Amino acid sequence: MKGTNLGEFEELLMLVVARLYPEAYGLAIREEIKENAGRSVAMGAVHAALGRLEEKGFLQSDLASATHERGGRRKRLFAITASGKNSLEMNRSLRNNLWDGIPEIAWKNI
Amino acid sequence: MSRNATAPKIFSRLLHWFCNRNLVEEIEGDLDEYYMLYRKKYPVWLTNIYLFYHLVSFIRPYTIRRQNSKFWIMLNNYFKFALRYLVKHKMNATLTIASLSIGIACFLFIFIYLKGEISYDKHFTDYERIHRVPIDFVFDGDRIHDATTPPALAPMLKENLPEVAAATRIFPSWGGKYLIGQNEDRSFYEEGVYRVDEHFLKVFDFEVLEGRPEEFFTEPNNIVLTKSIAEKYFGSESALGKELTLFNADNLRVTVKGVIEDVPFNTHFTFDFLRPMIFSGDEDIDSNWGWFNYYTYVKLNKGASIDEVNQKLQPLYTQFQTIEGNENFMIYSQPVEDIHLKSALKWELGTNNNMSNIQIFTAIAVFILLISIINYLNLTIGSLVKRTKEVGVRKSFGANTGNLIMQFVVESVTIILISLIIGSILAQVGFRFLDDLFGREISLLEIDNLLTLLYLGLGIVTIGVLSGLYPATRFSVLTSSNKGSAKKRATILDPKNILLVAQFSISVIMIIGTVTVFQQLNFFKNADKGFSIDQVLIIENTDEITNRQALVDRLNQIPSIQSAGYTNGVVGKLNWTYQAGYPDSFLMNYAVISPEYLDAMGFDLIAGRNFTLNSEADEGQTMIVNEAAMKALKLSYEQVGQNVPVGQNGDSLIYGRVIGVIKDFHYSNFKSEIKPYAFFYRADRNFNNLAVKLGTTNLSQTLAQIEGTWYSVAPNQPLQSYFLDQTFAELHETETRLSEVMLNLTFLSIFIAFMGMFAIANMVIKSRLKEIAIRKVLGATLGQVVNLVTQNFVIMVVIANVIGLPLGYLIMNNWLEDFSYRIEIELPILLAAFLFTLAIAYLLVGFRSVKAATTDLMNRLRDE
Repeated sequence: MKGTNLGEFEELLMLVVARLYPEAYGLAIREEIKENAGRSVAMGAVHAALGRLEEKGFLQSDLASATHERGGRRKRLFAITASGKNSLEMNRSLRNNLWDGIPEIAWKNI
Repeated sequence: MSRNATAPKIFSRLLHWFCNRNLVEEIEGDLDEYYMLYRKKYPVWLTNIYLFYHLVSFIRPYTIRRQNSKFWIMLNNYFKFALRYLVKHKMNATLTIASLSIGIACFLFIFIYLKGEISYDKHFTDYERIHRVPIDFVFDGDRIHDATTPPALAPMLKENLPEVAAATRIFPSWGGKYLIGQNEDRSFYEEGVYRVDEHFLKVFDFEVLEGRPEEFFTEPNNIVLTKSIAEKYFGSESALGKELTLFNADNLRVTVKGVIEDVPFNTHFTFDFLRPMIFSGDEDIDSNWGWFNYYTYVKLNKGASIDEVNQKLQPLYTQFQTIEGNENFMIYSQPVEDIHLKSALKWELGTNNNMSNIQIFTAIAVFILLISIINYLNLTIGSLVKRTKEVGVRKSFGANTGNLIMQFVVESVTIILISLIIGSILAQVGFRFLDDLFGREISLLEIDNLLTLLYLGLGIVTIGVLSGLYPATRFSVLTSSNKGSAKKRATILDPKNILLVAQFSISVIMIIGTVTVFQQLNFFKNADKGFSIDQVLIIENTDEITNRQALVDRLNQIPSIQSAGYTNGVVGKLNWTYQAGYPDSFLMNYAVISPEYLDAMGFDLIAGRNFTLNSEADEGQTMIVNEAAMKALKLSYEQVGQNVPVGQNGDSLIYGRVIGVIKDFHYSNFKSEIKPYAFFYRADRNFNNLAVKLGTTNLSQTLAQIEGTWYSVAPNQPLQSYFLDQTFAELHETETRLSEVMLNLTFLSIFIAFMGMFAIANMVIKSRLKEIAIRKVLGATLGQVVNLVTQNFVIMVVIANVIGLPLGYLIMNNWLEDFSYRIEIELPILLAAFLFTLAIAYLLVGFRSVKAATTDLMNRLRDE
């Protein structure tokens, strides 16, 4: 069921978008990932992934009004949709369930 | 933000160039902000590199702009038009594509063959530093080119020339065959056994697959195998350390010390086994200057100049060599890469090709490609006249010059791509079926060959684009109002007529070429060689049986055997040489024979007598010579049988007798002149070949009888035999191959050329259908109408012959110059080429015009 599942990078992106709300746009998202996850990602990759998530309906976007520091160019601001939130929560609860099911003894021998 | 902190303009321009309009704004904004952000942390150049990286990361399918979708739609349309056009004009399309595919296939075929020929010996590391050193015999100003040298040469060169990094010697088996195997039941006769010294791998770096190279050639009982031979004898097991026995060399047991890679086809020598150059006995080969049966190769140090080495060779040789009379021999060097194509010495290690063949093939390849491209151009340009109406309509619907250009370019590129695909399939099929022609397997799918295909494809597509541009530009000056006047009467100087003439000239040249090569070959095959090779069976390895006379006696009892005689060197395959003559010495070729040999080989005794069996008086310096040797010995026919000086040893004369003279005979190929040749007789010689002349009746029965006789005399030896005419066929192998390939290619090129002519005639006639009908109605006879159409083509064919005949004559005369015994290109050949082309042209065009003048006249007149 491709399209409903979130990839690792996609989940990261969604979380960052949520954190940065309402100022989540391409460059800001990239910088946030770089700071928090220590991953240096190409801007094109971020842009492509955002587009993909929007296509899946997990994100929505709108062009913000022009600001001065970008030479008058508008930025595309992203926000999480309801189904995006659903999907994130599903991921989280799935993980929590799995964590809860791990017996203590599994960590003993590490 | 200060002004100078904005990103360089070039980035924005790049972005705008590739990026989808809808995305440009946000991306450019992000990139700009990124630049400003990082410009504070990093120097300008680093920021620029980072920015470039991010910019490139935006190049993705969804960002690339398709804003000009009209362009794609139109392209799609043009493609559709092109296909429709091809389908509508099936005849023209088929002819064009067929001729272009054949041309491409032939070109690929020849080109890849030539690439193989040129690649000889270039697979050795530093091949440009490897040279062969031959020594030519010189007697009284006569120079006999010879590839062989004495064994002492290589060590001397290594010692005295600082430029030489390594020098090695090769001693081939000289036609001898070894019976090799693990046991006698599983043994094979092997010819490719080379003796080499321990420096061999330093000069020729064959990859060692098993074993330690430094141990290869240290012990006389070592042997090194090539990979495929190791598999033949030991299968998939490792051959290292295993033993083999040389059954006909005193059952010598040898140990496999190593396995090396197979010798690539593009090497001027080939071997399967390597044995050390260590001989039993006391003979010290390192100081032997008298035996000319070793090949010497040197590898120079890096940066050493071969010119300097060449200057030192002669003085060194003269100084060190020890044989009196040899000091004038000419020593020189040849780059190893030149041997296959440029060297034609006596005793080459393999069959070499020569430059003139390469040139002929190159010419054919280029010619064929030219003919087919001309065909293509002709058909394209020729069909334009009919398309003025179409272009007019397109223009009135608003097509501009660009649209027209695109349409024609798409059309021609489509045709060319189809032909390219068909052509490469044809070439691949050709490689599959004709690999024996090349003597090796070739596939178009090898990386190198794919590259060739790519280049050829690019070249031809360029031509396609250009040929699409030409009509488009011609039509673009046409306005829709004057399109009707584009129909001009064609003249001889019309571009398509010039192309047609060029095409036919090439065909004429190729016809002459093929006929000449064929005649020359037939001349070889049917020429009087001075002896007869038909029905002569050579039985090999007779030196291994003890009672040779018994074998001959028993064979003579078989009624269909005419005679059988021994020799130690079959004429045409192997002979020996020594220095003869007094007072002027020369190189005499010789073989030792038994008396019946002359009969068996059909030599023509024109004076004197044959040897007498078991006559001691006929041994020693008693000989039977050919006419050339008589001349060289300066003897007259009255002196036959008398004691005369026949040579000298230092200051003392050697006397001998010529007891018989045989007619001159061609014992090598016809490229060389007839050389002096002598036969000697020794009763107790270890003859290794028996020539058996068979009758013409019931060959298979005779062969079975021979086999029975052989096993009754030598029950444990396999019978090894071959027919002598095969050997002579091999002498002319390259010419035979050349002629076969040339015949096929010429046929194809003539076919293509006439296809072109037919198509053009078709077009011309179609454009004059109404004219023909009117003429007929007004009372012109069929002959007059046919003449009207054919005369232009006849004139063109005549002009083509005027150009092609002299050119073809010159080219082929030049080729014939390589042969000492050659035909002349005579008038009938030229006349035949002329008449042939004329007749075909007349037939093709005439046939088409008769049809045009007799069918459907009324309908044509009613049209419009």
